[in-house]
Amino acid sequence: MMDNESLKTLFFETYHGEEIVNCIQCGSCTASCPLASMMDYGPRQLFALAREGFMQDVLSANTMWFCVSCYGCTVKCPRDISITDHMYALKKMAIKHDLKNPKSKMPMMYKSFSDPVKKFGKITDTSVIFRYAFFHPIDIMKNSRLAFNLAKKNRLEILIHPIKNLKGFKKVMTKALELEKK
Amino acid sequence: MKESIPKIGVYVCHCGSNISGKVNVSEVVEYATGLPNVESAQEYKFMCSDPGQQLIISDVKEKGLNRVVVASCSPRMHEKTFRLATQTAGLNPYYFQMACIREHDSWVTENPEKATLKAKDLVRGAVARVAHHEPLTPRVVDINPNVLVIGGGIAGMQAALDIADAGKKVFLVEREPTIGGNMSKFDKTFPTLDCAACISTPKLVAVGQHKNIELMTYSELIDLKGFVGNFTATIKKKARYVDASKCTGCGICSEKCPSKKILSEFDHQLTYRTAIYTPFPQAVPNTRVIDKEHCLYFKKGKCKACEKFCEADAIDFNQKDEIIDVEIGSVIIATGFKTFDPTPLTQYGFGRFKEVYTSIQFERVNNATGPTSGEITTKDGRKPESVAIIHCVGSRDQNHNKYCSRVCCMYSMKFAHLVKEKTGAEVYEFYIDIRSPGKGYEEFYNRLQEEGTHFIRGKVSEVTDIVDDPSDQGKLTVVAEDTLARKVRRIPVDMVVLSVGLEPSEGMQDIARMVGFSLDSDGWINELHPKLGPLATASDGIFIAGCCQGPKDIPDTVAQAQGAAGSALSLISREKLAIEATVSVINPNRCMGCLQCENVCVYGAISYNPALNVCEVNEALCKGCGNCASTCPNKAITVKHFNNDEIMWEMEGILSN
Amino acid sequence: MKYGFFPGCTYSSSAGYKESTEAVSKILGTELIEIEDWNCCGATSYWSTQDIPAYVLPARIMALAEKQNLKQIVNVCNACYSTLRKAKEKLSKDNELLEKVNISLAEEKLKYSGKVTIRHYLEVIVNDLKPEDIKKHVNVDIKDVIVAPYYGCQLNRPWGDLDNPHYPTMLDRLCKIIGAGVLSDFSAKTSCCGAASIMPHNKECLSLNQRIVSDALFKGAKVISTICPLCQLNVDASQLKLNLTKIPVLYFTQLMGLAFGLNERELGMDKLIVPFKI
Repeated sequence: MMDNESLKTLFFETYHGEEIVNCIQCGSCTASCPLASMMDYGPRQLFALAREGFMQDVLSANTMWFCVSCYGCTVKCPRDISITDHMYALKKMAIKHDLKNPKSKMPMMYKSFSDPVKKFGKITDTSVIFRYAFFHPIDIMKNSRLAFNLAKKNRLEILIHPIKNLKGFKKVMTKALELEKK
Repeated sequence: MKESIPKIGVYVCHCGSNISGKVNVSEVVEYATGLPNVESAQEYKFMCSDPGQQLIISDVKEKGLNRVVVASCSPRMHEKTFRLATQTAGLNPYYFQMACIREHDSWVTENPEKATLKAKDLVRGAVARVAHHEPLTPRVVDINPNVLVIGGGIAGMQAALDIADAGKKVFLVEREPTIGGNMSKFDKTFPTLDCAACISTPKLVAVGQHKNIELMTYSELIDLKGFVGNFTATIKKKARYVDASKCTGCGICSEKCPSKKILSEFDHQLTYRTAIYTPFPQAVPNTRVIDKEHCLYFKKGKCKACEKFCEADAIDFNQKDEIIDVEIGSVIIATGFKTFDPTPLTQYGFGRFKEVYTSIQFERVNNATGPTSGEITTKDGRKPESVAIIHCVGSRDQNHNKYCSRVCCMYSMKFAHLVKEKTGAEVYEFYIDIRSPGKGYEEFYNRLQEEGTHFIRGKVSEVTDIVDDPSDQGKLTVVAEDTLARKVRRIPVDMVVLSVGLEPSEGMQDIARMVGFSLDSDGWINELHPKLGPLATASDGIFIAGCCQGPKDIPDTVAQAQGAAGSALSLISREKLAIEATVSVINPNRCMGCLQCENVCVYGAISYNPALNVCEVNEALCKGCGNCASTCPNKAITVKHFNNDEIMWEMEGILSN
Repeated sequence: MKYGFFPGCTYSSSAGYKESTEAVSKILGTELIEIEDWNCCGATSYWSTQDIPAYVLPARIMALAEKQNLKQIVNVCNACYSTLRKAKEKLSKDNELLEKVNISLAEEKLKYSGKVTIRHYLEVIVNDLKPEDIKKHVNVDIKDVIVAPYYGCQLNRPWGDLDNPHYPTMLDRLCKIIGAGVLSDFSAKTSCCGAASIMPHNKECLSLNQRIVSDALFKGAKVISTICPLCQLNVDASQLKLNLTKIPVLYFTQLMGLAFGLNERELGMDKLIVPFKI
């Protein structure tokens, strides 16, 4: 695991996290956040920790995994900090530096989404849910009534029609991943 | 009487450690000693101090110096000081040159060696230049002892009264139909809770009655010409359609006026007024005014109810706007502020929820002459059980005004006290930081804590009518993070007060252009110097007071007003004034009358003489900016003290290393 | 008028978004030309996990549109709209990133130059058409269909240039144009539906949806209208678990279709979970 100081440098320099030094800790982000009640720290407190260098605490928090990308915080921030983008950055850092929070189910949700994209270039709701169900079956069982309802209305698309130039698409994505790792 | 052989004294200032911390002063002095025409070179800790100036004076006398160079701060700071010292020593004040080795050198250069080298270069330039200076004589002009005050709020009224009491004539121009400004709308004032009306109404009356004050309400400045001591102001007196000499202010006209549903500006849209009206009962003057836009007669050509009932025969539908010129020597700008309009912050629901008020509206709600006669009730007449006060609305916010408006914390706490006192309701103050720097202010904060006000540190993200508990239906939910308790709070309340910040009054750009001062990026007036010239502007003779310079509370405003009045009095009491000799001269033999100089002169100092087909400079108006000289295609114009010779020698000196 | 069209992955399995959009665009003459061989935009999942691929996915879509000589890309999903626009804005400011994206796309002989404009179909209808051009197709009086106009989050945020980011009115105006009743005081219009978090965090997201549905009901709405497939699914499906009066959740295109005299089957409204009955 990287030390706090290097993680902070990475967050500030590679991911433009440096703008959080402008934060006045007003909490309008946390107050606008639809899922703040679930978070270990609200975004406000997360930034307070990050700028003082407690990056390991930050990256092992569940906060960013509860971000639903509604941008409610970003448009209200009196210091114009692009909070949602920082949440993305912290998620990416947590994954890359292996600090991802085991308490959150979201990494699995994202994986269930990106797997069919990698394979077919597209998703369907059903393809994502099926994959996710494999890891968290209870969440799906709780929604059996919905599944039944959708099936009845012919809205469960089990099959994904892959994109036509799948071969080319895969080459593009392989290249992108290659550049990502550099 | 240019001296044949220059004998130059060079003085290098340490400025404490401001200069000597970077520049090796002794090395510069030693270097200067060897420069051409330099008779002596010395260093001193503070050249601007009395002993520093004495050094120059005694050297001139003892060593027979005839030119002086001081290497120190910016000329903006102390050029006048050293010119005066040079003059006191018996030399022409323009036989002096300043080398700026602080702002241009020690403050901005990292490396001490480079800083020292640069200081030498600058001193060399100044020495080369001063040898070629020409003696100039400052012009002396008469000062008109009258003063124009723009804005009739507490700042303008106070300044006008102080000047008038000193026996000088004041023209007080106010845009609205009455003087009094924002303060006359307030109820109590923090932190002493004395009633705003009780302390301001006597001022209104005093202004209205003062024999030295010529009050022009419902009037606007439309032009200002001239220069310090000799301005001509053009003022438009808008037609009131009521003859002020006849109107008794009885009010029968308003009673009979059929247009009754016009939103009151004075009550900030909380009540209605008639088309012929006076903003509030204690208005000065109490002459009514007809609002042409809403008057039935002006709109449809029929009605004249006011005229019919006016026993004094004061209504005059044929009145016209009047343009008048007044001669003055000095101007005080006291145009105040307007409150921030929170409509764009849709998350707070102003305009959408009827129980969301701006702070200035809430002042009116609290005021005995306001819409509820001072009682705090909801619009449907209920006594509130809980009230939220939201700080920093539109302030400290990059999306709106980035500055702190300075007064909102304190007036918000005043509201909390009034709500508690009048209704017993729970009061929630949502703040980011409490700012209470003033005499008795922190104590007031403490008092409010003891009164049981809930202080919640968090910026409100939303005011909504969505309630989580059905029994709260009809209330507004205020959502904020309680950042100290680390909890998101959703608090149902009956009323919400938005503590809106202050903004410069409408039309400041126009006044700035007319009068000749600059505005900062937020639109407030730039003072001459943030520490040492807070009441003056870059234009001589133009002073500022109150919120036009930036948000401030009543005590600070009044203090500034009295300060500005003092500055104006000090100026006009001099009767005569010496003006910089650094003006443009046009050589009529070279001028072709092309008028390009006239085009670029922002001070209106150049005019064309058709008889001779040449342009001429009005020295009284010229500020010596040099625009004309650099524009003239035939090199017919020189600026005294900045002629080509002087500038070339200075450059020669700097570059000749 | 011709537009490039990016339907997005959930378009065809949604509750009639496809049927109604196709029907309405035909009537309005807004020709939507599907981008050939489009892929998934990547959405939040990619923004949250990867740097370069998150840009390559939307850039490929935009590059395909450029190749087809399409000047504008119309979206019907808020998340797609936001992803494409976000990628475009970032790529216009970051040359190094742009280069990496184009190196990747070159594998498929594609090139992204940033020439396309990103649009949402709602905004196309409101901004590109004159009210009378919409009004002239209205032949059913739907004034009794009182609409709670629900915008969700990612159309107006974070940009805030199409409409007010907290209290937009674009859909309100469209409802009025087509003669529907519209709530003037719907406070939950940009409240969050929980998006992809609804599966893993069902309980918390249900309470978010409860606020949306109960505000619509309390203010007297007969339907909620949405502009995004995920919003529609969440607000519609949540009602299976909420102990509230049921209120149908219609796409704005279905609402327009009704006003234009199309029947419910033509508009795919039989696929709604909470059935539309009025």
